[in-house]
Amino acid sequence: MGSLSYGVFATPNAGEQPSGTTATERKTGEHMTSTSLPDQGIIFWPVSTGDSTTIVIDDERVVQVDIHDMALADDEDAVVAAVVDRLVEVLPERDGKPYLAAFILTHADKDHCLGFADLLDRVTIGELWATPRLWREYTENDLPLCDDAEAFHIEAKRRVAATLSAVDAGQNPASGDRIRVVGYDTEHSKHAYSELPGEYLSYPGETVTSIDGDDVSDRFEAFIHAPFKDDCAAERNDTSLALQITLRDADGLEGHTLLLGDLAYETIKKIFEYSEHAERPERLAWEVLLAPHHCSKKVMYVTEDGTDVLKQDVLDLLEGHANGSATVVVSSAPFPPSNKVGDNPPHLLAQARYQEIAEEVICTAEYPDDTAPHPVVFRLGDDGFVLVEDDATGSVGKSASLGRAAIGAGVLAALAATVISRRRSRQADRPRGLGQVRQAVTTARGDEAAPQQAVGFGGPSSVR
Amino acid sequence: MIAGHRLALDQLRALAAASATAIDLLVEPPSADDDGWLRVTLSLDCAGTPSAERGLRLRHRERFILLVPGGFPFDTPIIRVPHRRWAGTPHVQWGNQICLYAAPSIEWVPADGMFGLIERLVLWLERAALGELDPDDQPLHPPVAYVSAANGVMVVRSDLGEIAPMVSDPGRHAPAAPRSPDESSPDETPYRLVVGITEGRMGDRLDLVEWVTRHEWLRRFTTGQIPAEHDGWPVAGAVAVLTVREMSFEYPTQAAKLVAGLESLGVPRDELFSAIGEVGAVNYELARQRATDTEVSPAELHLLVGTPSRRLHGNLKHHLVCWRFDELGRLIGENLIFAEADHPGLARLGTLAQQHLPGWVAGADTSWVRVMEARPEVTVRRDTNSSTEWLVGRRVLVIGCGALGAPIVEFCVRGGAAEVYALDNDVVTPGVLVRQPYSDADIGLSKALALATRLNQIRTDDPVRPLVGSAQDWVLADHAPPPNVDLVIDATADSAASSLMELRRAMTRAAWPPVISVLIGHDARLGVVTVSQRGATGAGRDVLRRLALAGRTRHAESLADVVADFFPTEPRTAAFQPEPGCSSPTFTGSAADLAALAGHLFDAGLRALSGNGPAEAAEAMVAGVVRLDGTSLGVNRPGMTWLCWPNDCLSDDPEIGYEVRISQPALARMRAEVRRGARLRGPEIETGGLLLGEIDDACRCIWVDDVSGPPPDSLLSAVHFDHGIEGVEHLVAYHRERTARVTTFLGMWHSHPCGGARPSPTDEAGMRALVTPVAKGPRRALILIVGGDEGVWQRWVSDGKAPDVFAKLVARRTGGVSIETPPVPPGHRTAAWPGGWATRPLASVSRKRRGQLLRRRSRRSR
Repeated sequence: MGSLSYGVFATPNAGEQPSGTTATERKTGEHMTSTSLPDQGIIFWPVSTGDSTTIVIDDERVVQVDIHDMALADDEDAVVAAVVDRLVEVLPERDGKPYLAAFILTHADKDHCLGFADLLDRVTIGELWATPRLWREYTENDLPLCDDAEAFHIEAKRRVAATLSAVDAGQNPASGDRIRVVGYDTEHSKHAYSELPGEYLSYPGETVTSIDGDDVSDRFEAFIHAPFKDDCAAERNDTSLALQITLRDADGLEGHTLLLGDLAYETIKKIFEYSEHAERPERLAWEVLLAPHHCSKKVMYVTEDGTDVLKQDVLDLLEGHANGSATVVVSSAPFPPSNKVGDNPPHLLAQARYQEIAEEVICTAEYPDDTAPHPVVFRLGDDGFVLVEDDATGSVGKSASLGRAAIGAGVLAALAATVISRRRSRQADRPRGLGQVRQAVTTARGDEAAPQQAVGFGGPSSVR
Repeated sequence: MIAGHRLALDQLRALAAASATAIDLLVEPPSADDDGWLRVTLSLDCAGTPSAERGLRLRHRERFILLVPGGFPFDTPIIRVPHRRWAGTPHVQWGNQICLYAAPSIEWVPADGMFGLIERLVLWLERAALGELDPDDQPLHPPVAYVSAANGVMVVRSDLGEIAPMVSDPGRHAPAAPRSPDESSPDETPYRLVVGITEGRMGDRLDLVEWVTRHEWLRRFTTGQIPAEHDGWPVAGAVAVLTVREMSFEYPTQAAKLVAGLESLGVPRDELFSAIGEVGAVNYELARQRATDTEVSPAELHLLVGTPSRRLHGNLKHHLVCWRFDELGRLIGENLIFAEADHPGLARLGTLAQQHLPGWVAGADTSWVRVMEARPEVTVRRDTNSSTEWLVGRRVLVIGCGALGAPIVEFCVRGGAAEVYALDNDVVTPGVLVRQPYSDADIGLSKALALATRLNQIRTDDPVRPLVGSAQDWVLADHAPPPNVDLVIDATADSAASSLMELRRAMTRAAWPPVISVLIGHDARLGVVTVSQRGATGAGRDVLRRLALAGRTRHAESLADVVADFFPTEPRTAAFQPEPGCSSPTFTGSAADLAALAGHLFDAGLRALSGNGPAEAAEAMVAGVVRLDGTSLGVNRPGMTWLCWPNDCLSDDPEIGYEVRISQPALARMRAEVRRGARLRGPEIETGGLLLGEIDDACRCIWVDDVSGPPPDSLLSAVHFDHGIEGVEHLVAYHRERTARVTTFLGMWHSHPCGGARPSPTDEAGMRALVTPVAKGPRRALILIVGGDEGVWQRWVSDGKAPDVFAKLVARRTGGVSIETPPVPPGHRTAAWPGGWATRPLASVSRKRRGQLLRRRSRRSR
C-alpha cells in the first residue's frame, strides 16, 4: 500500500499562521509531528448544511462530489472549510494549474454547488458529471437556479458542444472538455446531450470505472443507483444522483460509500429493492453513508395523516447492507438542541435513527467538536473505510496556504490536515446518554416531585 | 386493548415525554400480537456510556423490543434487541434476549412497572458496557443450554474436585477465539475426559454420585467393581469433558456445532468419541447384566460438558451441561469400541458404528438434559449463616419424637446432620395427627420408626436412626456410657427422664455432649429451651430450676408469665386430657403453634450452643423463653428472653454420693461475708451462716442457692464459731415463701481461715446437733466448710478463686445417741465476737448485752 508521510505543524493556537518561518523550516522544526496516511480515501468537509465530498483516487486524481463553499457566503457564524481554497492549494498540478479529475454534481441545489464557479475558475476540471434534470431545470423557469448552478449548466453545455465537435472531428474530447451525463430523462431528445455517443452517457445499474478518459478500474468504481427514469420529473431532490463509490488499493482492500444526494424514503427504498432484486448486494454495501439530504427525517419518516410515521424497513435495509463498523456522516450545521415542526435538516429524529443502525454518526460541523471542526477523513482498512481519528489529521492553518508539496504529504493527508479557524461559542450540550434516560425515569415517576407554585381554592362563599 | 397493555403504554409514553428524546417510542402497536404480547419498540440514547475493552459495544442509540405480557404489571416484560450483535455475551440469551433479572419474583416491582424496567435496563447497559455484569468477586452467570423436560434430569451430587483440570481465573472475558495448540503452555492441559457414575432414579432422573478417571472406570469394570445396580437403581457411566476455557454463552442445539466448539477448545474429536465408546460399551454390558430376560433395556448415553463458568468464593468452578444422545447416537456409542475387536461379528458392529458416526454427528441435535446441581463445590446451602449450620456433619440424639421432637429431627435432617438418632417409646395415635408430623398410615406404628421412614426420604444417605424405647432403656440406662453424639436434645418434657439425665450426666460430665432441652407451656404459647454446654455443671433439670428461681426472685416481673405457666405455685387442676381417662394430660396447641415453637426453640438453642446467641446467652448454662404472644398477663413482653448462668462450684459428699452445686452467687456471698468479717473482726476470726437451697434425692444433687452471714446471736472467734438462731426462722420462711419452696433451709456453713476444709470434732458434734429431732427441726442438713491453706485462702479472699470446700449431708439418726459436745476452746467466750453487724468483740460490749448473749447460748447448749 502506497503511503506517504507528512508533517503536521502542531500550532499551539490552531488557525494562526505561523510567522517568520518557511514551509521547509516548519518541516524540520522540532514541533513537527509526523504521521502517515495512504494515498486513497474520502473527505467530508465541514461546510455547514450542504455537501462537499472529496474522493482521492490516487495522488494524481481527485474527484469532487458536490461543493458547498460557505467561505464565499461570508457567514460570520458558520465554522466552515474554504473548500475551493484548500483544493487549489493541495490538488496535483497539470500544466501549471491545479487539476481536479472530475466534478460530480448530484443535483443543482445551492447547498450542493455553491462555489462551483470559483472552482471552475481556479482549477482545471477534467470531467464533469451532470444529470439530465439540469437541462430540464433550465427549461422550466419556475424553478430558479442559483448562480453557481447556472455556471455549472453553462459549463455543461459548453462541454457537450466541445465533446460533440471533438467526436465529429474523430477525436476524443480533451481533459477539461469532458462531460458525462448520468441518468434518464424522457426529454432526452429535446437537448443536445442526447446526441453524445454512449460512452459519455451513463444510466442507473451501470458501473463507471474511468475518470477523465483514464481507466482507473483497478482502484475506483462508481455504481450508479439513481436517478430513476420514473423520477425524472419529480422534485429536484428526488432526481439526485445516487452513487456507490468503491475505492480499492493495491493490496485489494476495498472501501464503499453511499452518496445518495438529497433522496428521500421512497427512492432510497427503491434503490435497495432494485439492487436486491437484481441480486447485486455488493452494490449496496457501505461502511460510510453520507446521510441523505443532510440528515433529513424524510429518509425514514413519511407523513401519514399529518403525523410522521417511522419506516423501519429502510433503516433495516441500510443496516442490513452495512459492513463492519458502519459510519453515517451528516454533512450539516451542528444539530440544534431540538427541532420544531417545519425545521430544515439536520433532524435530530433522523440522527437518532442512524445512531441505532450505525456504530458512529458524525456530523461534519461537530467533528471533533463544533468549535474547531476538522475534515472527516476515511482511509482504506481491513474492514473497508475506516475513520482516520482526529489526532492523525492534525491541523494546519487555513490561510497557511500549504500545498502538499510544501509539507511533503499526499493529497489525502494534505487535505486532511485542514483546520477551520473561525471560532464561535460552543452550543450548550444537549442532555444525552443513559444518564438522561435515568433522569427521565425519575421525572416520569414523579415521586420526587412537589407542587412548584401556590394554588388558590375558593370556599363556598366565593361562589356566587 | 387490555388494561395491562394500556398501563404499559401510558408509562412508556410518560417516560418518552420526560426524556427529551433520550427515550424514543418507535413502534407503539395498537393491539397485542396473536400470542397476547404487546410488542413495543423503543430506542435509548446510549451516547457517552463509559465503556471498557471487554464490555458490550453500545451504539449512540440502541433499539429494544419490549414484549409486554397481558398480565403486566404482575408479569414481567421481556426485553429483546432487534439484532444479534450481542449474541454470545453473558446475560444475553437466545442471542437477543436480555437477561435483566436474576430473580424476577424478588427484583421485579409491579408498582414501579416500566419505570423500574427502564431503570434496570439502564443499569444493565451501563454494566454491560463496562463488562461488569460478572464482577470478579461475584458468581458468574453460567452459559445456557436450552433444556427440555423430555430429556430428563441429571442431579450432580459429587464434587469434581481434583479431577477437574486446573483453571486460572483472569476474570471473565468473552469466549476466546480458537487457539492453536502451540499457544498453550506445555504444562497446561486444555481439557480432561472423565466419567461420572450415575444411578437411575425414579422417572427420568439420574443421580451422578461419583467421578472417576477413564482409567479407573475401565479398571473397576474389568475387576467387576461396577455393580449393575446399587440399592436397586441401575448404574451407568456418563462421559464428561472438562475444559479450561469457556466455549460460548449459549450451547449449540446441533451436535456438529458442539463437537466443533469442543475441538476449538482443544478437545480432539477422536479422543472424545473414544471415551464415549468406552462408557457406551460398559453401559451396555451393565444393562445386559441387569436384564432379567433376553430383552436388554440399555441406559441412555450422556455427555456432560463442563466449562469454568461458575465462581464460588472467588474460585472458578466447572459448570456442567448434559446432552442425552438420541437412540442412534447411543447405538453408535455402544459399539464404537469394537472396531478393533477380534470377534468378527463385534468388529463388524464396531466398523459400522465408526462409519455412521460422522453422519450422525453432522445431523444430530443436542438434546439438553436439565442439570440440577447438588455439588457442594458450586452450591451454597440455602441455610447458610443460619443456626442449623452448626449441625452440618454432626451426630445428634433427639429424645422424644412428639410435638417438638419430631419437627426437630426433621430440622436436623434438613440441616445436614450426619446422623440423627430418633428415640421414642410411644406409638402414633389418631389424636396426635392434629399437630405431630405423622400420617394416618403411621397409626399404631412406633413414632421413631415412622419418623425415620419419612425423613430418610429427604436424603439419599438415610441419616435417621430410629431407637424404639425410652431414654431410660437406652442412653440413661444404668452404667450406659455417655451418648456418643455431638448433641443431645431432650424433647420429652418428662421430668423423670430429665432428672435421670441430670444424675447420669453428673457422673460422666466431661464426656457428655452438650444438652438442649425444650418444653412448652400448657397452651403452647410459651416455650422454654435450656442449653448446657459441654462440661456445664447442670443439664435440663438444673437449668429449669434456675429459671424457676429467677422467675421467683430477680426476674419476677419479666418472667411472671413463665412462672405462671411452667412453675405454678398450685398445680394446674384443669389438666387437658384429649382422650379423657385414657391418656395422660397434655397441652393444647395446634400444628401451627408447634411448628412455630419447635422452630424458634431449636433455633435459639443452636444459636446459644454455637456461641452466636446474644450476650445474655454466653454462659455454660442458658435458658431461653420463647413467646408467641407479644402480650401475656396483660404486659408487653419480648418474643425472646434469655438468661444464663456460669458453672457452679462443685463439691460432693463421697459418703452418700450426692453432688453439691454451690451457685456462684452463693459462693460470692460467702466470700463477701468472709471479707467483711476479716475487715471487722480480723482475718483469723471464723465466720459462717445459713445455707439455702434444695436437696434432690432423685438426681442425688444438692443445690446451694444462697447463704447468709452469721445471725446476731452467733459467737465468732479464731477457734470457734457458734451459729446463732436469731432471725433464722424468719429468714428461711422468707426464702421458702419467695421461691415457692424451691429454696429452703439446707444447712450451715462456716469458714476455716487458712485452715483445712475439714470438720473439727466440734464441727462433727455440731452437725449431729443440727439434725436433733426437735419440733420443726430439719431432718438432714448440709454442712459446708470453706477453707484452704494460706495460699488457697488468700487467693479466694483476694481474687475470688474457689476455696477448698468440705461438704457433708448429715441425716437425722433414728435411735437415741447422746451427743458428746466437745468443750468450747478456752478463750472463745471472752475473745469471741457477736454475729450480725456488731462492731466490737464480745468483751467490749456492755455487760448487760454480754449477759444476754451468754445466757441465750448456755440455754441452747442445754
